[in-house]
Amino acid sequence: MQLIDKKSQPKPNVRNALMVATCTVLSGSLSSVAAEEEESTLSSIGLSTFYYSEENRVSVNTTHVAIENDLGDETLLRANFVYDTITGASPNGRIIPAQAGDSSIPFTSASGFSVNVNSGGSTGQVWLTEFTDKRAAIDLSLEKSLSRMLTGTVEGSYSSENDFISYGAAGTVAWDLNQRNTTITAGLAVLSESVRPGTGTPKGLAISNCNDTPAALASRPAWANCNITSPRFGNGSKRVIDSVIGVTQVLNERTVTQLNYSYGVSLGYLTDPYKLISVVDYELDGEEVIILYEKRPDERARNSIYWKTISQLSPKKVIDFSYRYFWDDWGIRSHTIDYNYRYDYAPKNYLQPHVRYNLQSDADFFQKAIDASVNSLPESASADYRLGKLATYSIGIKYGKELGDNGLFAMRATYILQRYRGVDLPDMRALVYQGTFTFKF
Amino acid sequence: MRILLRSSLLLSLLILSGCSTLKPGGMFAFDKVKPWHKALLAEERMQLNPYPLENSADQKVYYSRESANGGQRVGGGGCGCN
Repeated sequence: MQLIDKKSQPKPNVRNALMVATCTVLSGSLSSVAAEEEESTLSSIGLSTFYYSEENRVSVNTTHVAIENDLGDETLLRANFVYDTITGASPNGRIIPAQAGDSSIPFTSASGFSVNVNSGGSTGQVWLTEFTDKRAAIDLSLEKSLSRMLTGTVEGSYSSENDFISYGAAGTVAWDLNQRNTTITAGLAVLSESVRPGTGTPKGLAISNCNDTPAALASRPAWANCNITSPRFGNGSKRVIDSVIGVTQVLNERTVTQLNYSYGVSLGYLTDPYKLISVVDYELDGEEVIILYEKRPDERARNSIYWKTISQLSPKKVIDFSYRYFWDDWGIRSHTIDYNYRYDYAPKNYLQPHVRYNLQSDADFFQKAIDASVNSLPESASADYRLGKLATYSIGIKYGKELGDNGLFAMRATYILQRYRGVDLPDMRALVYQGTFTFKF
Repeated sequence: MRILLRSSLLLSLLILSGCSTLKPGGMFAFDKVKPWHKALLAEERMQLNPYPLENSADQKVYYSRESANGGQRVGGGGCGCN
């Protein structure tokens, strides 16, 4: 005799179960089973409006339209259209000297206009570079069943900003095994990107500006020739190759888990043409002597292991959590944990709290500033806080509601806090708001 | 090491917080699931990427503010994010 705790069991739906079983036996992967549960739900249109706002820094407005269209013959077309408007200011890497001077460096922003680096140290805490930008992106993919157990996807993408263009192509195959309880996935993507600042790209670690105060002049290093500032070159181009191999496993009737290994290489111009790094004399209270453009290596190999599990604890509760370990040959190591808890508190209504935590070590060439007493410059150096030690904490809540049989509406808010170590930056606080609406037909 | 320990502890707590209602073996109990027992797994909320519009926005936010990225899939356009 088998004892069953009826409270913990989902209510059976014979019609759905039969339909799912039929679909599964005849054709399709796990995802297509979900889609075929109701024949008319393969096509959909999704709309999203997204707002991201950092305190005293960057704001982003994004509109995203996602279309899925069933072309028949087990072929699905997906199209994504994204439009971003970005305004605000971003830390440029300079340190705040003990006594901030008034020197203003002519600078080219992402919008292509020459603007000042905030005179007098901006907020008094951090040097910021103001910019505005717009980004339009399109992404098209075609998913097709290649055989009974094999599904292939090809994808093309294009995105354009005032100073950046990206072309991409990708292909993925998914192979179902073991009565479709196991799926092996392999994917390859190639991106060709071009960085196009309005006035060209500066030479890495070349001089942007020099401090002409008597104290700074006295401690100017021998290698620095302030009569020659950085030459400007053309666009910076890079190639990015990404690959992934993974296994997805159904563990039981309520749980599915996925393990991926990803490897990627970036080659070419990987420097940020807008970032600076200060040369300072630590014997002069950290006086800023020279300002250089940053320089990063022209190769980067990235690896990550990603593990995700989704489980239905009860008909009302679904959790999903993931962990990613990332490492690269720049010396960066990163741990990321993400957790969602969906609670369907009423029919067609749910709440979903979310937490995320990321901890990152710094790149080998990251430094807050270059010591003026060094005899020669390093091969690479950057003071971009994103390459430094940091921790990012996110906490959010989402409300979702089904509208009729075909509509889904959701809205969410997330608070993000980023803390830095090794740089004199105040914590970054950001708020994310997003509303989405999906209609299936 | 401290980082790993802290991360593992946090992850364990998060997982355990959702495991209390499950039978022994928890969510990781392994069964060979027959096709006609996959109704729950076929629900949209049980897919690996159940909320693609939100996932896409999050990926871009964290890509532009952290050094690590990717892991879930390949593809998608680039971003010269500041």
